[in-house]
Amino acid sequence: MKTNSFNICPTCEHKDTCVLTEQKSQVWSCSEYDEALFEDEDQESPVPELEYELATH
Amino acid sequence: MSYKQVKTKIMIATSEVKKPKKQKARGMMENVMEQFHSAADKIELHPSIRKILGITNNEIVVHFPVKMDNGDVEIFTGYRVQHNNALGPYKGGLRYHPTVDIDAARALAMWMTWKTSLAGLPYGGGKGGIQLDPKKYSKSELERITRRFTFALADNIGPEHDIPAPDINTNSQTMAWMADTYMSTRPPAERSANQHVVTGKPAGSGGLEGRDRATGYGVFLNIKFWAQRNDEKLEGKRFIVQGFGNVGYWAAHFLEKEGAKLVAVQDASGSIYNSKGIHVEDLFNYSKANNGGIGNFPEAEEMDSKDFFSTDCDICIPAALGNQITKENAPNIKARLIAEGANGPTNVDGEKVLLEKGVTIIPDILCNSGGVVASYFEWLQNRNGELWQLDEVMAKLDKKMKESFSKVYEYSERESMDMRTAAYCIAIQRIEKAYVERGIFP
Repeated sequence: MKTNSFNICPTCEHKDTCVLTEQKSQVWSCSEYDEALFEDEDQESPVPELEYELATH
Repeated sequence: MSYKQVKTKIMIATSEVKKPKKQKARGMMENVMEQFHSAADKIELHPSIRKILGITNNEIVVHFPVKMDNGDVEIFTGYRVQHNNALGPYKGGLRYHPTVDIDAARALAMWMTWKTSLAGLPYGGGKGGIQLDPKKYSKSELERITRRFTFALADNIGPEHDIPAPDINTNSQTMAWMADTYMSTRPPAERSANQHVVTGKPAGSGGLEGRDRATGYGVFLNIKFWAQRNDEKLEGKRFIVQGFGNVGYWAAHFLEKEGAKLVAVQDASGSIYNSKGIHVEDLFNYSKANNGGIGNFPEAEEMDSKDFFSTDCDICIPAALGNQITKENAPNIKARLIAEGANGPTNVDGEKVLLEKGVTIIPDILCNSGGVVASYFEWLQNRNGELWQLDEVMAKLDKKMKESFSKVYEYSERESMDMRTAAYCIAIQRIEKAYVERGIFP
């Protein structure tokens, strides 16, 4: 098994201003990581407010 | 599909994966393997079991097409690594990220095996994800990608076989889509009985009340148990927190309720300090109004980020990211206790310095295990057709975390070793016992 290149910093919205670390090459988990999951604002409804019904019922 | 067929399929598919370039810095796989071998040496792990645990059981690679909003079809690559299931179904997150690959999933799957074992859960370890940049896709595209991935994995996951959970760039919505898709593939009479194929679902769809605070509450409990063991009170203790996300915030929230004083906080936006104390709820409300950042909080001073870990305090909670406490800053750390809310915040050299100074480290594998315990509760709740109230969840979490902490603390005292080594020894021994009792087929 070998080293891998997994690193979340390049896609984090704080990458240019983040003060947490200068070593932004092998970060595989971070509480401050932010990446907009859904770009489409019209569809951006928070999960708890969804009227979620299982399609299988 | 039989196990053998899956293995064959995996071998073929793995050969198609691009091999990442070697990095000079230590990778997570090397860290995980080193910790494993170090503990295995200490407990004199049976060589055959060392061989089994040193490698993953299954590595699944799937390529699947998804129709985009503009009508084009894109092909995605998804992974699921199943490290070990000696204690129960594989358990671990799914992350969506451009740099996800089989190697990353391997290390994280192995780490999950130790974590679930130490927590005393009936689970093994798994991890996976899809190689994609989620911000390039609309919500409806991500929904179709998630559903198609679930369909592609179908025979390789299941409520009693492999149970995914949210991770980087996946959330309760992603899990709701996965649960719904998986349930749709079952015969009608079995659908409801398969809701626990994933955990981390929204509370209204089988998710657990209090899931948001479980990891932070677990961090707080570990600190509380440490104080009790050392005949100390939390009241008046000064603590610092790196990372003010779910883990850092909730740990600080519960510590403050016990009378401890938050004196410094660091997040991506800056580092702040107030020797008289920072009110946790005020800071939380400020950060919510400021795009999640704590920088420029008016009731504290800005401090140089490099000085954060040298702040005068009793307890330090690194709850953001890995490799934060190193041989460079460890000599200046004033805290007597490090409670690792993040994964891997103390590196090997930093840990050596701290242990020589007599600092206690509650290791990540124990300290932040409240999240996976909460996942287990969600799974149990679904499996038993129950709905648990918040107070029940917290009480059960309290009991489970106390068991884990006591095991590790007592083992470390008995064997005169640090708590991290003790935690790994306990985790591996539990799996070893299962193999010894059951033997190896045929």
